[in-house]
Amino acid sequence: MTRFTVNGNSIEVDNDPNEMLLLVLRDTLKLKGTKYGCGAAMCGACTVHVDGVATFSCQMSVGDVEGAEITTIEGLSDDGSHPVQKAWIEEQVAQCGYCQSGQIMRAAALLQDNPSPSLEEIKDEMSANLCRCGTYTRIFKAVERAAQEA
Amino acid sequence: MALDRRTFLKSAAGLTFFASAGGLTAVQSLAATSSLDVNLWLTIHSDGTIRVVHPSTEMGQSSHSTLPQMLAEELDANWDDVEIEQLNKDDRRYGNQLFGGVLYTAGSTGTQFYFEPMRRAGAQARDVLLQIAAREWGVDKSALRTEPSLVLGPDGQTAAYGDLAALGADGITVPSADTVTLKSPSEFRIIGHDIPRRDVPAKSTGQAVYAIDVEVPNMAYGAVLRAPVEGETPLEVQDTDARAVPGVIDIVTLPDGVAVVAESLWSALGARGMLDVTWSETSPFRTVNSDETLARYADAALAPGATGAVWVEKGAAAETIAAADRNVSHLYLSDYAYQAQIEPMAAVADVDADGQGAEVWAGTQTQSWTTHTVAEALSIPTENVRINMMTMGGSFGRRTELVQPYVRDAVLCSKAVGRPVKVIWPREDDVKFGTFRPAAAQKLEAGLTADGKGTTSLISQELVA
Repeated sequence: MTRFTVNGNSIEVDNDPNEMLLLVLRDTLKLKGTKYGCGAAMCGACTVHVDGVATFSCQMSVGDVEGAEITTIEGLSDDGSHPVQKAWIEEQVAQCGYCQSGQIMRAAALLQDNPSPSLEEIKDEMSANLCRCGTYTRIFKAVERAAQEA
Repeated sequence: MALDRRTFLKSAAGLTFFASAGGLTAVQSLAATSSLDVNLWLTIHSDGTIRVVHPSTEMGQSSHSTLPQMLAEELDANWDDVEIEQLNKDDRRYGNQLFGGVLYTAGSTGTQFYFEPMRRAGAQARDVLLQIAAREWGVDKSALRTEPSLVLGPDGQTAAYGDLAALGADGITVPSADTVTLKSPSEFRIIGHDIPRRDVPAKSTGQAVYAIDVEVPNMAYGAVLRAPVEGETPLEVQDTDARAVPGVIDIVTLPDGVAVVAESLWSALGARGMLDVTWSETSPFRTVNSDETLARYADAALAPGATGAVWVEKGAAAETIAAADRNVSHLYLSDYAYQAQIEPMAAVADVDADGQGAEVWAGTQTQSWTTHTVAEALSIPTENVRINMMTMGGSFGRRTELVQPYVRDAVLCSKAVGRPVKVIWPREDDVKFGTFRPAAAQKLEAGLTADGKGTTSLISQELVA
């Protein structure tokens, strides 16, 4: 039995403690907003917050997060009202959209730590997350917008 | 009842326009040969909502918003009134004529092909609404004009499209798609304007549902151990250890792999690692070498007098180049390339208990070939295949195959275990076993004028793939 918090809710799961956190979030807890892209810490599509830190959920076992507080894209807001999500919509960032949950989670963590990042700081932090459609320029604009409007 | 392509029907819920892709001879002839099964482009409901079909598939290119906008423009609809309906059938009346009528979304051809017929379908519908208003108000159609989703009369009358739809179209004829008047670009309110994409909010909140996200009741998960070399088959499967893994439901032998079906992907992946399979060793691909393949293509492209099937021909390239002051020629090589779409290949299949039909959820670039894949896997007629085309986490050509193995895997697993099964190809599997962009050698020849500037119609390209 592993106990942790997801989006403010206390959770208990009896999955194999070695099971990938990403799969527990998606398939056991049905939080499909977090995406599986590579399973190898290379793309960032699975990024969630673990105790406030942007983390690849494909690189964590569920047993590792005992007692942790996890936030997924669903926990940022349920209606797109989080400043980062609003900026993402305003800048029309998404194309295929598959990486964007992870991008948004990384951007939200960045702004939590550094409310006024420089463009270079934004590029540096966001470089952990890949976008195959190439929406990077809009991602940077959206992070800047979210920083200004938060 | 056979419906002529210009037949216009009244329905209780509103107006349904049966209008095929107009203005293109090939489409007309297709429609004429299958008029019993005429499909609808749009429906105007009496509550004012307008349902418009999206005939392509969405992989990030935005056709899901863009193509219906073409129709909405000529209908002069308020874009907010439009609901988009994904085409989930291999209905060739909607086929992309730039791909021989197959429902196939690739190479930016969706916008190129559907621009004209979808505009004409919208214009036909607008004309019918004008006719209804003219009939109701006892005025000439030419005295009417439209504002978004509204018809306006000469004496200040106004009627919403939905209200006009509710009045019915008795005695009204749909104008020919070929001759219906289209807007001039200066009248455009939607095309060329900055309209937000419909799918962006859901893709910014984690709510967009991709094939890999689909869940249906009683669904199991499949992971496939694939042949180490393309073309090999499993000869002997030792699965005692794999079957002992908690959650494993069954081990299913596929033509080119062995699938573990389990209650979770985690169990399926774990058990897959315990399979001990003896494979055939007869595949001709064992001796294939991509460097040698590319070298052979290059030799073929460079061979004197090399010819091939003509893809497109404009002007007298060969003669013009021969007569040019100076010639330039270069050979370009492109290697096999992994498309690296960010959503791994995934499909959910639910085969009917009698094995004679199936429902499938997948994201592919072609309704036609996904339907074909399922029908072939089960040896059933295509009309027994029910597909749900999901928005895709990128494609880049990865999802165009005539036979889509990830879809087939899900179908065969579902049939074997009698439950819906989601098959996911982990990233490593896709890199190892995916259908790469083909290698190619391209020889480019150009003729130049003496001053060194290229002149028009001087380039010929030879492609060997």
